[in-house]
Amino acid sequence: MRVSFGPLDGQNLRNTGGDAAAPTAPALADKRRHALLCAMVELAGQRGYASVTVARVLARANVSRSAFYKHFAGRDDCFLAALTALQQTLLAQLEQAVASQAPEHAARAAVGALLAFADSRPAAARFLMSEALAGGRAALDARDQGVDEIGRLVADRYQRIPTTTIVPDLPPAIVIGAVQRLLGARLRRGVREHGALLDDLVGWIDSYGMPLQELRWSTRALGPKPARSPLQPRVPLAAPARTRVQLSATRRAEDQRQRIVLATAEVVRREGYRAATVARIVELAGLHRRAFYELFADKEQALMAVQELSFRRAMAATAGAFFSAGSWPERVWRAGRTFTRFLEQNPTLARASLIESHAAGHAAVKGLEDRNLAFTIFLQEGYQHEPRLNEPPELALVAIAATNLETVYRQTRSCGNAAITRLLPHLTYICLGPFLGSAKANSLIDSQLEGEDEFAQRIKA
Amino acid sequence: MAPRPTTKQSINAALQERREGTQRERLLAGMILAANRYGYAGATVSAVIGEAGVSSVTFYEIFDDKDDCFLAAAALAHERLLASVAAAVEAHSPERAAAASIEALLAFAAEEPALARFSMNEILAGRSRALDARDAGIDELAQTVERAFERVPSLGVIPELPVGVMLGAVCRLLAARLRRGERGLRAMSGDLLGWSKSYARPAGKHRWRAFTPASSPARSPHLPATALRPPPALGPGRPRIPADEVAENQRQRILFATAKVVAQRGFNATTIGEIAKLAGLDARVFSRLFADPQEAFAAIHQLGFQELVASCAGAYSAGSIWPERVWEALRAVTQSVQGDPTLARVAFVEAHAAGAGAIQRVEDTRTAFTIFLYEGYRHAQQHAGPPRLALEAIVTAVFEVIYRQVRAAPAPEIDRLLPHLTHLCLTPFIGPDESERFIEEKLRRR
Repeated sequence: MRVSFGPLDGQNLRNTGGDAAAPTAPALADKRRHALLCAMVELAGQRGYASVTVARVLARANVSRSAFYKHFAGRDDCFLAALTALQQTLLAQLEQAVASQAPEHAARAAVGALLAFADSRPAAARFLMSEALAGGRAALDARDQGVDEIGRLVADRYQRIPTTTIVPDLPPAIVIGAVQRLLGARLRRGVREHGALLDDLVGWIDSYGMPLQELRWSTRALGPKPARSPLQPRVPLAAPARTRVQLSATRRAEDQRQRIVLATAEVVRREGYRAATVARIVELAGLHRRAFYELFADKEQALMAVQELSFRRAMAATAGAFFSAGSWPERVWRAGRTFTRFLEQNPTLARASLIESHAAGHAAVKGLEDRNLAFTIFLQEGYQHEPRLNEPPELALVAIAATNLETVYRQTRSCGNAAITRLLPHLTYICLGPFLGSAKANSLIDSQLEGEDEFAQRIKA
Repeated sequence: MAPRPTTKQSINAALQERREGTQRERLLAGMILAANRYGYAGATVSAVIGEAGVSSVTFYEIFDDKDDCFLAAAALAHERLLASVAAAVEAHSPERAAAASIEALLAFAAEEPALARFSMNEILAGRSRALDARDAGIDELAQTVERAFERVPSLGVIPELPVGVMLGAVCRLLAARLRRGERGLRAMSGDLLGWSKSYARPAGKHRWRAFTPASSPARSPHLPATALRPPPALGPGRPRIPADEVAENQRQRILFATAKVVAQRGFNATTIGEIAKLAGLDARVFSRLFADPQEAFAAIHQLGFQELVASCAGAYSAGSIWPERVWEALRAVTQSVQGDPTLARVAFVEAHAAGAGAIQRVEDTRTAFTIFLYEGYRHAQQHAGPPRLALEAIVTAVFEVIYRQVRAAPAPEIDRLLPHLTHLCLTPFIGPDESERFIEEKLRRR
């Protein structure tokens, strides 16, 4: 049975203890379940889900182990139940917030409500916005579904306004997902007071404004497949071939490291980070267990090495492409083309880095966020390209990075990496919009798409 | 041979008119003309005597070989440049010595484009002795300024940056423009003087004008776990991997072999046979994958550049505030260059010898690194920030420092110059005092 949940971050946990009247058995069960969910939210929301154990939840909730297993199949099940319950609370708050503002400001209202939620209930917010990504595949499904529901709230509001109204030309669910990522990172760092971000975030969202009837990017409909970038490595990253040539000791160690890193990525992609074991990794790498522990302390470190390798290769290829073009928008297009091609060419690395990092604990999540932010270096030139009266604030770069990550993450989750290159127009638009305005960004993308056509035909000919 | 671009002809026209003179002078003028037209590699003895209208017998009576003539021409160009810089420095107060020397370089480039192009651009394509001559020449120009600076009282305000680096950077900036046949170079004066002035501080407080290497900073966590290296040879027999992968394996091996041969012998002495031998491949494999050594050089240069940007960008994004980001980026770059002497030589020394395409690429990569400075404008909102050309000047100055270090056999100390390079990058945006405070803080925390 589902009970309605108030704040799940312990605020009413304390109130549940001192009831005078002896509760009935079903009411007691409800109360225990509630206490367990509160404890889960509180623990994961304060220290991260990776550090939560059933024993800790029991201790915090003051509930017996057998009672726990009466309600939940295990830790993940409890986590998932807490997540779904919290999402409903959040959704209800957002519904109110969105309804209280003019329909064209629905996205703005939703973002404002997310910030308010993070301000008023930091542990619950961190649980929803960051830890939800750490709870395995079922939790990711629930997280994505929750984000989609909020996105639909916003999209529904647009149904009732004249088609000439200006609204942000972005997929609402992606914006919500991105803002959640952005807040999740801050909450994990222990930052409080997010309300001050509102103006910058609203300014950023509004910079994508277009008349409702001309919206083009509000769904993730895929573009055409762009031509192959000439700067792209011809073959995907692979473990060094076993050679019959005698290698030096350092060289052998380096090869082993590379083999372990790629095997880690593969095992993590197949089985998820949490189910992946060092035994499976060394088996796939064809190495002894000892070789693994000589190089890495644990599988988290190996996953961070996967991140590092993916980042370096992606960044190197992207930078090469970026600097090969003339004007800044064109550079962004070329960089994006090479970047998406890299992800498509290396699906294992992409999945392990972009999706599974969250399950591997703090350092890995921070690694992913920092490396994702590193790509904003290519946006710096935007400020010089066309100095405008209202140039995008610093936070816009962070928001753009989070939006692109969310876009690629959703695509990777929904259909693997097969079509990531076809998101190139979307990703380019997300980058250019705040600097050039939507109309100009659109026409630049159109001319790039035409160029791709010609390029493809030339190659065919 | 490439067709002669018209701009080059017009640059050389003035020199052509002065062809009369002794045979030696005619040969030197011929060398300058030929090198400006065809580059060092194309300025063969026959090209030089063709330009000079002198017989080859006469050539060999006066010079031992092409390099002898090339160096003599460099000495001639340098003498003229030195005379005009010295005169300019002399004509101004010692406080204005740096500004006067920059203006003199610009004036020289505008009035004597052929000599300037030869001594600032073509000379970089020469062999090691030509580079020695170029570096010694810059040092001599710098000494003229330094001598004037000695007369500045300790409260006198002068730019706090190594004069040799400043002049070397200005020469490189001019080289790029002379190569493109640009006119109106004097117009750069305002921006360049603004740049050098942004380092101004009372002479008594100076700290960064001489290079005193600090202790090596801790290893940057943003360097790759394993060094960039070629894949191993596939071994005897028919390879058991797809043809694509075989080609990629061979391509990579050729790239790294090219880097190695170029770093050891200089690009001018590099042959396909030697590259193929070092890569353990047949020369035919080279020819199947690359048109010529230039193409292989371009590919390894690009690879090295991409790696460097990847380290730099990763480190940059890890910093919280902009000065911190610059520090981290420079730490990663300097350590990465220090750790790979072969690629360092390819990127910072030899590229000029590898033809017009490679020179263009070096200039493009320098422009590329300016993106790490853009944020400086927003960080230092209270100041207007340096002019746009200053970004290029800063990166070129950093390039010049690293170039000098890479050439400083046997032990470059690039990683230990991190504080100096940080000062070069930050000061135009946040001023010398704040920049010093920041660097002090970083050094103390270490």
